Amino acid sequence: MNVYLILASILFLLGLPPLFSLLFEGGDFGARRVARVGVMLALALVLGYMESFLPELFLPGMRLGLANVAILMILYVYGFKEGLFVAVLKAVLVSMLRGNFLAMGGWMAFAGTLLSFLGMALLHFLFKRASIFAVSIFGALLHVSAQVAVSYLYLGQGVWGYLPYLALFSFASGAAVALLCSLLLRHKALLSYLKA
Amino acid sequence: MPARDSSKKNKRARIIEAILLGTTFLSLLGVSLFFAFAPKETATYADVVLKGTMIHRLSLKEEQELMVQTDIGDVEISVKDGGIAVLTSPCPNKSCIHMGYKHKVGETIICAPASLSIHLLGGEMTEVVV
Repeated sequence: MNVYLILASILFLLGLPPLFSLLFEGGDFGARRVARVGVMLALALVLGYMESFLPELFLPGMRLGLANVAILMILYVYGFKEGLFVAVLKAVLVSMLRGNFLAMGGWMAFAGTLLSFLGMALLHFLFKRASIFAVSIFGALLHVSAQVAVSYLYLGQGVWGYLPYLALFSFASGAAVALLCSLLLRHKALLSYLKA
Repeated sequence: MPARDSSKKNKRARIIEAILLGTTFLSLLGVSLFFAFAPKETATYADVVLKGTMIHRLSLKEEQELMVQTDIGDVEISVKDGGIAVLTSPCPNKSCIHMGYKHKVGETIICAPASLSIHLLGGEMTEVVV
């Protein structure tokens, strides 16, 4: 247990509570919005937790990342703040459920989720015409790279050999998530529920 | 004409997306290759594997000698100066001993007759219950 890990854990834990206030910024936050975002967070948690029990495809880290469906939905329907909220809390809570919190697996998942969310938000808002497929695949690539980078800190140089295969798979998993999202974003009843 | 304009813009958007994803992927490949060909790091620990099962995880920082019991006899392993080597072995050709001390991540010492292999690894050594 080295100094950097302890420091990172402390800073991380200190940073979590302010994140909650993010959602309540500005006077008129609307209980409905909070409730809807909460529902999507719960969805992300269920998807993430359940998916983590499925065996990985060929290599560690080859997962579909279904929880990103919820994250992308929130990003598209609401915006950056709400998306960040769901993304960070999903990573933290799923790792707590899995027993990974503040362990290598938890840090990998957190780094992956955070970097992929920031990248997706950046792409979506800077490049308005980006298709959801591009955004999702970009997010998947970032997710996988951050995970490999964190595992490098724990496991050493050998882990980088996984990256090409994981990156290739990201195209497939990103496309799958995007497909689901595109279908959901056309579902009128769901959209009106979320936006209400 | 609105329809023609937007389809042109869409086409351009697709191309930009393809370029973005392509360059991201290529840069990831580049990073992987960079680390693959970078000089190997000095190993920090070694796993001793007997017949496919790990029986010891040794830190290379502590000088130590240990005996491993194998089907063909006892194999003596030595950890010294951040490296690991096989000192004595009952195998016929002694190639494992001739390898000498290994220090780098990814290196392996193998004694096939004894079904014994030693894998050098790096990064943080996590203690395991064997």
